[in-house]
Amino acid sequence: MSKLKIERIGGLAGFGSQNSRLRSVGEINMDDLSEKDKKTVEDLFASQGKVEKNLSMDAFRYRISRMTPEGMESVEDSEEKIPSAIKQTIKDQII
Amino acid sequence: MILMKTEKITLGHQNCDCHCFIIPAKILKKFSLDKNLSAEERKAFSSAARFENEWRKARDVKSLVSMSAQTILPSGLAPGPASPPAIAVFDCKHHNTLPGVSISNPSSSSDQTCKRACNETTSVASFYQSVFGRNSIDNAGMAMLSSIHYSVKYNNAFWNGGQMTYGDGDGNIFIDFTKGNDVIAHELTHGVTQYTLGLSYQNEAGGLNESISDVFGSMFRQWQGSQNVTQADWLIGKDIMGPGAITRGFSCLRDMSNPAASHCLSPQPTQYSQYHNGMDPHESSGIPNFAFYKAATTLGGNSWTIAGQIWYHAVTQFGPSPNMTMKQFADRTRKVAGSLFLSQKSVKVAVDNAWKAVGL
Repeated sequence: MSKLKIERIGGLAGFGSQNSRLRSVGEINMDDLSEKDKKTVEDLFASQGKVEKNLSMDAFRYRISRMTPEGMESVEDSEEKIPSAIKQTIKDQII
Repeated sequence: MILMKTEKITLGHQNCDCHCFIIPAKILKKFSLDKNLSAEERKAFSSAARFENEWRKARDVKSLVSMSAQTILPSGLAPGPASPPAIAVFDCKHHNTLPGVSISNPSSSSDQTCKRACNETTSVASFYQSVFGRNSIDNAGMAMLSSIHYSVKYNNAFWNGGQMTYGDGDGNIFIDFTKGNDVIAHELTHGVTQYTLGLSYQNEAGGLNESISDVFGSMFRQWQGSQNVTQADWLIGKDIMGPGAITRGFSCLRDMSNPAASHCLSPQPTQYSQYHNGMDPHESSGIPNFAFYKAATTLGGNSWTIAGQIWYHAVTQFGPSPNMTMKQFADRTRKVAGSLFLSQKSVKVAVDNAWKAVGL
């Protein structure tokens, strides 16, 4: 069972930046996603580095990470490309 | 009418599963062919798909024409008398679809968020017009659109290239984002930057992009409060802090007078030597923010009288420069300070020293 670690970053408040006290994190098992959402996630990892950057200013981005035999793999993309089931896992907090 | 229709059948993630900022045309087209929807609904989606496509084209053309005109027209050409730009507010009703449902007479709405978004946006337009002679976001009278009540307990506000959008906050870390007058000016200024310097949103240009929004956001807050540089709080996001943040000693997102301060939810670097590529723009913006603060406080009086004019000219009078570095922007403000305030050498010295203080 592959676990996805989710982090919401950026936004007007700068969530998740190096010195920020704001974190927005969550996790979900890949098996708990619908087939459609699983495909979206696989497509995100497959298109890493080739996706068109979203030009919205102050918009959130999402970082999705998973463990592979080669080590931890992460991908970042804009909020509108992330399945709602994944977005619903995150919780904003002050650390 | 189209918007009302999409609202009625709830085009949120329940149907399209994407939490769109703006519904992609391909999704609209898909719904327009969906046999599970009524003929009337399919027709509405078909119309919406066409509208979406044309809207995007119109936005891109308008942006291009406006930016081209600024490079062609003689510098210093004063714009003609302008009527105030149209201000419109839309209610997302806690969905993720933009722009949402149009609100009639937003300035007199019983919804305080709507009223505030309308009135503060009007005030920012007035600030840009009266202080800088700028006619709206594009300097050509562009309508100013705002969407409120975006998503559920949404801890953010953003500019999507065509409009402002505000979340209500989760009520703990943040409250309603329209409560920050600097937040509203910050988002709107992203539009001004888009139509002028056209800065990208990564590396040094990204940090400059964010800084320009913070600088004009703070400047607007000071102008609205009739504050001079010593009376100003120089805080970004003070009025959107929620009880959970305040009780833990956080009073703002960022502090332009002390970017690394511990009372900031997102402390920032103060020296260019701390910068590295890949840094979040909301972090690297601390460097030019601190330079503006130092220049403005050295010059004294109201920030918008001298320092603000220099920054505004540096942003608006030289055409697009998407990958501008902080050093290039610093040098431009030095040059503008010398030319705009030719007889006051102390102005150029103050600007020069401000940038040197942050290592630029």
